[in-house]
Amino acid sequence: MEKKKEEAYVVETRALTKMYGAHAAVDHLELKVREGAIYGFIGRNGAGKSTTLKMLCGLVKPTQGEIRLFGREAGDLYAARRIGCLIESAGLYPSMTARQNMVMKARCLGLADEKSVDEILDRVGLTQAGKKKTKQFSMGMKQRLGVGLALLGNPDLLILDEPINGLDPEGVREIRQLILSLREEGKTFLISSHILGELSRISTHYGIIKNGALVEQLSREELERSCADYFQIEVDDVKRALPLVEERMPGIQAEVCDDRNMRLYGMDAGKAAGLNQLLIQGGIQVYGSGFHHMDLEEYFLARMDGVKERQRIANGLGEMDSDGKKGEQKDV
Amino acid sequence: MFNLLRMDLYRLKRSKSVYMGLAGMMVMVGFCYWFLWLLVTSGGRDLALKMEMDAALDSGVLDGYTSIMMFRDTGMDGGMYCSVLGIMVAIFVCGDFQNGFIKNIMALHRDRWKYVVSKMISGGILTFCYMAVQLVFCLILNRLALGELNIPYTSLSDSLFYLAQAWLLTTAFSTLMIMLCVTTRSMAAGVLLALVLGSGMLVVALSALSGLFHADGWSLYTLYFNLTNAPSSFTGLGDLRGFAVGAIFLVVYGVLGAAAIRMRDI
Repeated sequence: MEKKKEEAYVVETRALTKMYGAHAAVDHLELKVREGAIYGFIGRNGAGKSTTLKMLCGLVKPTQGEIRLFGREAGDLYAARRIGCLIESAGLYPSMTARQNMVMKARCLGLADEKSVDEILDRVGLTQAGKKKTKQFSMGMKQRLGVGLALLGNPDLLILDEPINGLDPEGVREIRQLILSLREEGKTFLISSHILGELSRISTHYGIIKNGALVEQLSREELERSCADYFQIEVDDVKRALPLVEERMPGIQAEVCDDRNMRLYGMDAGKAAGLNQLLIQGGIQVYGSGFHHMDLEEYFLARMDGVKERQRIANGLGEMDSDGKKGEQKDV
Repeated sequence: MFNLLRMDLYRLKRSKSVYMGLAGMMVMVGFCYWFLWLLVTSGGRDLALKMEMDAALDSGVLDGYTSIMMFRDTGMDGGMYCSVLGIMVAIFVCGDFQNGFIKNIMALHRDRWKYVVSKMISGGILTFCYMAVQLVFCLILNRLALGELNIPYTSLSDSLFYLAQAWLLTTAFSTLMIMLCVTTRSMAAGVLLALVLGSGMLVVALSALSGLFHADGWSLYTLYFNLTNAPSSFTGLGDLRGFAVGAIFLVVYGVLGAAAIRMRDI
């Protein structure tokens, strides 16, 4: 049973670390990507995303830790052949055509039949490129060819680093549809992208990396729960409003943002109307209120800014937060 | 590894620079023959006089010359061949790193030494093709331009002895370039090193410098000197020094190249 569970992970890293001098680009990373998932790998520039992906692709040697791909050691040739990758830019010979670049990779793979080259070119929409050399390609065409190169050999896992960089909206849609259709064929994706809105449309799982360490790893359902609706209210004095809410509205979780704003979880429209009335009756002025829903971008920024788990702050105002800053407004 | 070799050969066949390098060498060979023709043939001297050139040589200058000696003097010796070969290898290897295609290769081939071995074999094939084409070109020019001087053909055994030696030494030189290119990963550095090392500039300078202290014996064991002074026929075991030097450097540079590519991340 335990073995079966382990096999379900296409990618699994244990304490994966990459040091550059004294700096840890990746720090004890524990990444787990399930079979059939579209795993969105999110992090700021320099957070360690590309280094992690390069280590998975065998381009960078880990300083310590372990990588298991399809339940095998990372150096295993069988595992390596089941991976297709596009890391940073698509590596292309500028004086060759799209087809010639594909044939090069096909030969590198040992594919005897070049039929798959034409099929993939058709799939990524580059059949029309003909004899045009890749140095004359637009950024979007290069990215598409990069995705095409990753698809050669029918890999089970696709590691794509910023695959929609430089694509126009139509190109983004095409790549999205391609990814979704490939997922239906049973392929697994590990995708890093800064375009979080686009990533949130396709990802089934997310991993957030910060300073080389994995901050959080969660499924789409877990993310949706974490991004649950909240009711934000601005009053003249939170110190007076908070005890009133806690006393009169049991079951509502409150989070204080600053001395005027707080967030309430577990609210609905009826409770919101009652709350306004309650506060006015208590002599507290209400300047504004409304429901909010965090999207992936807001959630990511919240995690990056170090917002801790929601907590009820009974006497939160004036206390120091974990960063040692007093009463700092959280950017959520 | 043979998949990598298939890929490399596909690229070599489609590389313009390979043909441009070959064409450049053939132009130089052609120029040498033309110049020689002007100096040693009666028709050439007439033309030289018309062009107000000082044609001082007579046909005796080519006494004792054979077809392979002409091939050596016009194409192989002097450092141009190795310089051009080195530049081709630098373009070939550094191109992988410069355009990023190396990521596609290394993601599939985790044993990086295979990359170096594949490039070594490609280098060997390239120098074989260059030498073969140049030799045929020289033989044609011998017939066409210097036919009236009747330069005799070298015997087959002597031709093969020299060509095998030259092939091994130039393959070792291309392996040296591969080693330097996977270390520097810079095309500019690769081309510069090809010129400095291929022309023998560095070896000759160091040899001259160490000669001041009577310590230039080491230069007998360099690729450059062994190629330039390679014996044209086998007369004794000492004539095999070029083979030994070529084989040893081929292995040493291959191992160093494999170590260099393993040590650094892509």
